[in-house]
Order: sequence, then structure tokens, then C-alpha cells
Amino acid sequence: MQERRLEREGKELAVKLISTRGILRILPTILLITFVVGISTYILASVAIMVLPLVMASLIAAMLRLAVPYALTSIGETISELSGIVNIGLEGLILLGAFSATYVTYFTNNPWLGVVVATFVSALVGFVHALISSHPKGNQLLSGLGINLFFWYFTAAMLIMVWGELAAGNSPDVPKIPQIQLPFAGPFGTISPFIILTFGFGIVAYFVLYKTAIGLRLRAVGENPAAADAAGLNVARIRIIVVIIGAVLAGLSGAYLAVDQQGMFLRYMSAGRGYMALAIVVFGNWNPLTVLGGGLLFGYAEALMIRLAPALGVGIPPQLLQAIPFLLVLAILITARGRARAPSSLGKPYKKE
Amino acid sequence: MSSLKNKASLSRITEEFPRVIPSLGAIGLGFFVTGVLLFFFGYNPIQAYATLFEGAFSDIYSVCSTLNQATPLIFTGLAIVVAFSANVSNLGGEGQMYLGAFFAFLMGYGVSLPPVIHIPLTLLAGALGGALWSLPPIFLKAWGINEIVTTLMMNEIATLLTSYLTIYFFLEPTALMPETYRIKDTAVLPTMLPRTSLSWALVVGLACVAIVYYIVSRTSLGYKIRAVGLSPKAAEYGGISVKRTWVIAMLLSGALAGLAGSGITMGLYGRFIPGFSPGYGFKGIVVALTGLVTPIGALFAAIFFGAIRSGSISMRLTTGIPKEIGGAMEGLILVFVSIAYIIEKYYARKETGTGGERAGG
Repeated sequence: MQERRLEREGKELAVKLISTRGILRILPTILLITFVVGISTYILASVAIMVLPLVMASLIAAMLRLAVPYALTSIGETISELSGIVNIGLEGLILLGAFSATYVTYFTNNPWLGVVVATFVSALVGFVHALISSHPKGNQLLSGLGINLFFWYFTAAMLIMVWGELAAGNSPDVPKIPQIQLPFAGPFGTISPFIILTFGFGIVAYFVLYKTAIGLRLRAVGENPAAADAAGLNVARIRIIVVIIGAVLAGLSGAYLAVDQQGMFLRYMSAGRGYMALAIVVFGNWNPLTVLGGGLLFGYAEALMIRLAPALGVGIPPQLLQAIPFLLVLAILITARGRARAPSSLGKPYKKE
Repeated sequence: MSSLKNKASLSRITEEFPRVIPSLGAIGLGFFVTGVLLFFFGYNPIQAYATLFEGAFSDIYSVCSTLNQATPLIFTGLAIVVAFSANVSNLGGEGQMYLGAFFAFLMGYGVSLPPVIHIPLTLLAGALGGALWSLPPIFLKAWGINEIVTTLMMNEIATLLTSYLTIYFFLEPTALMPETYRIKDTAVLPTMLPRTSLSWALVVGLACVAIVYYIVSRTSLGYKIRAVGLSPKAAEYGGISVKRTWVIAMLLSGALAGLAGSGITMGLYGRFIPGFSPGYGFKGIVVALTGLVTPIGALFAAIFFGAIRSGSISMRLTTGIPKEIGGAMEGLILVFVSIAYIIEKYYARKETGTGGERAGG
């Protein structure tokens, strides 16, 4: 009886896994994006029609720069969610990555060392979350929320404990990661290594998840852990490994914010990016490439906000501009309903029968 | 539960006590790990904790300050108790509280009535604000969109919206930081003891503990909420409308979070201050979970965490340790509570299953 059921479930699973998460499923979402991007670009263009080519070029550069934390975090979360584990603690992990990178860079003057340490500590915290959430009785939501609460306050406290009361809002400046000079692009054609890393992660994650046996096993664990278990896969071990990968990518995007974009640690500098990453994963329908696109969209929205605020800002209250990304997330979730299909065991602990 | 009711209260305490052990263990571990971190950064943790508890309980004024800090946590903790009992992951307490505080300001400022009517009306306005803000996420949940991300987004939108309304429509012109005008004196909750700031909001909170206890454990609505929380499928099969129960539980939860806001507007500041909350909504989750997702437990947990908060303010004055350490400790305690779920067999029969939900679309 049990074997027959597992065999049937295995067959259903095979069918599910072969059907790719196609682009048609998210067509309405893409139409929405086209609309939003189109309208906002039109406003921008009409404001700055005289210097349009320059504006667009700098807008794209800003989009790439601002998209990194969104894209990197949500690609990591995609990998982890495909195995069935949600990590609400992304916000905390970004702060942890940002703080530890700044801390190490401040005392060693080597931003790369900061990035390495950020990777290591976020892997460690990811391991704790992985242990809790891969356990049959573990509660992923609480563990993730606890991670957020802890690092939200702890990094703020550390800021004071390390740099004193005067540094309540931000750390001193630390050296930034050197930028990469693009060939034939002149003195302004530099790009952050993290941008290349983000695109690399997105493409590699897509191919590994959807084109290799390893990816098939991982998705099988997320779709039907019982069948994957019966097929001889170690569900807990696979989940632990991918949750650590997801945590490391969140930590890396924090490190990017601190030692690449800002060159310092700012209190609460994650600014809700970890929560938005959760929505970008839904928007991208658990496909690393569309998730990467979602990250770019949020980068574009943020770049527009920064450009639009001074251009039109006299009339528009800043709070309404700041609310745009959150409203966008709600719009995305509503349009993605029914089309985006979550891994079947997402958020549910796996109990062996 | 009901069989336990008939026994003598002493044996009830001894029977129920083991259920508290995981929470106490989580709190103890939270203190220990925070202490190790403090030690690592050159502070004396024992001295720190001594000043913390001295600052929280040493005299009548510090006890009042502890209870004042506990009051919003009682409301947000109860809000989480109701939502989690129905397996609704309402992470939007923060936003619901902001709307509640703002609605209470509108009613307190905009209307002139004798206090006997004005005070309850202003309280209710806050509850209404919170409930209204909880409506979109719960309707989306009933429609098939998971509430975790939507409630989180509603938090951010509420903070920005109330800040916008304050600055553009109700700004007190003489204030240094943005804040609204004062509410009418008839809507202000008086203090309970002279020369302290202990507000009557605490009494409203205690009444809510009793009401929520009654609703959850004694009424058919409470039965439905718990049935849906344990197993939506079984509840549906038993003839309970799962979606309607979700909506009612969420409205109740939002109203309680909104009351936290009215308590702050009417009892603490007498006006609305944008961004006033140090995360009461999220702390409500820690309060509810260490309180075993029960109203009475949440009350005790709220007083405990109120003590940590009022104590960490005085700890900062004497030892220089940042007061954020108190918040960090709460985060640690939540992580340890989720570990306690795993190792403690008493939790096995009280699975709220708050994590057993899809997190996306």
C-alpha cells in the first residue's frame, strides 16, 4: 500500500518536475512590469528630455548597482525555497553580512577579508536556521523571525559598542571593494565585481537547478520529500546545504551594501530588502533567471525613485515615493496569484512516516 | 483542559508547570548567550543584569515604568495569540498598531464629547483602525495569497502613510520632531497613580486578557478558531467555514493591535508621533510564543519583556550598554523558543503549526 502510493506520487512528481516553470505563467506580471516601467520611464523622459541618453545610461548603471542586494538575496532564497525551506531571516542575515564586513574591513583595511568573514558568519547563522527548519518539529517562521529581531537590534547595539555613542547612526568610512574596469569603456566604465557575481549566480543557479541531476534531486525534495526520501535521498542533508547557500547569498548582499555601495555600516541599512526578496521569489516563480529579472526591476524602481525625487520632488511627498516598492510587491503578489506555483512542501517540516 | 479545571488549583499548577519549562529555558539561554556576548565586548554581564532588574523593579516608579512598557506588549501579544491560534501568521501587528494609534488620534482630536463617552469611543476608533488595516491581507489570504509577505508590506506602508498624514495635515507647528496636535483632554486616559506615568491603558489591557481568554476557551467562536488552527481540513470537514474563521480571527487580532495604538496615543503621548514604535508588533510574537500562545501566558510574558525594556533603559544610563541589547535578547529568545519546540515533548500536543504554511503565492 505504502509502496504503491509512493510509486504513484513518484510518477506525479516526475511529471511536475519535467514541466518547466514557463514564461506564460507569469505573462500578466510581465505586462504589469512593462506598464510600470513604461510609465515611469515616460515621466522621467519628459522631465529630462534634453539629456536623455545621458540620463538613461546613468539610470541603467544605477539600476545595476541597486539591484545587486535584491537579486543576490532572492536568488539565494529561491534555491532554499525550492528545497522546501522558507528563510524569513534574510533581513537579519543582510544586516549581519553588512556589519561583519564593515567590522573586519575597519580593523584590517582589507574589504575582501570583510567579505570572506561575512560569508563565513552568515553561513554559520544559516546553519542554525537550517538545523531548526529541517527538523520534523522545527518552526521555520519563528526561527527566521528570531534571526531578524536579533540582528536588527544586535547590529544597532554593536555599532555603539564598537564605535561609541557618537556613531549612533553609522560607522566610520571603510575602504571599498575595488571596481573592475570594463574594456573600451573609458574612465567611467567601471563595474562592481558583485554585479558580475550576481549575474553569474543567477545563470549558474538556473542551469544547476533545472538542467542537472543535482537540481532535479533538490526540487524533488521540495515537491515531495516523502517520495524523495523513498528514492534514497537524504532530505535533511540536502535542505541544510541549500539553506546555508541561501544564507550566504543574503550575507554577501549585506557585505555588498556595506563595503561596496556605501563604504560604511548604517544602522538598519537592510531597509526591508530581505522582506522584499521573499516577494521577488514569488514574482520570479522560483526560476533564478526571472528572479534575477525581478531583482533588476526593484533596482530600477529604486534608481527611479532616487532620480525622480529631486526632479519632481517638490510636489510629491517623499513618503509616497518611498511606499512605491512596497505597493509594487503587493501588486506583484496579486497578479502572480494562481500563475506562480510554489514548491509543494514549502514551509512544511518533513516528518518521516 | 476541561478535566484539569476540576482538580484542585495546586495540583493544576504542578501539572501545568512542565509546559512552562521550555519558555523558561529559552529565556535563560537568551540571558546566557547575551551575557557571553557582553562579556566578549568588555562588559560585566552580572553587573549589567543586576542594574537591569534594579531598573525594572527597585521602587514604585520603576515598577510603573515596567508596567507601562508592558502595556502595548499585552495588546500585541494577545493579537498574536488570536491570530496564531487560527493558524493565521499575522506579522502585521506593527502596521495595525500604527493605524490604531492614528485613528485614536483622529477621534480624540476631531470630536468633542464628555470623557465618559469620548474615552471608550477613542479606544474603539483605534481598534477599528487596526481591524481595517488587517482586512486586505486576510482577504488576500482567503483568495489564495499567503499573508506573511503581505502583512510585512502593510507594516511598511502603514508607517509611511501615518507619517505622511501627520506631516501634511496635522503637524504641530511648534514641535522639534514631527508630531500631531494634542488630542482633546476628554480623550486622554488619566494616570493611575499620582507622580507616575502609569496609564489606565494597563487596565484596558487586563480586561482584554480576560475577554480573549473567554473568547478562545469558552465560546464557539474560540472553538472554531482552535479547530481551524489545528487542522483546516478537519475543521472544514466538520462544517466550519475556514475562510470566515480566518477573517474573524484576523479582525480580532488587528483590533487588539489597534488598541495597543490607542493606548499609546491616549495614555502615553496624548498625540500621534510617527515611528513611535520600537517594534511592539514584532515583540508581540515573542510575547505570545514564550506565553505558550495563551492569553494568560502572554500577560506574564508581556510584563517580563516590559521589565527587560524598562530595565535596559536604566542599564544604559549606569553601565553604558546600548539599550538595543534588550531587543537583541528577545530575538535570541525567539530562536531558542523555536528550538524548544523541537526538544520539548509538551509542545507536541500544542502544535500551532505557524510554520506549516506556504510562504508564497
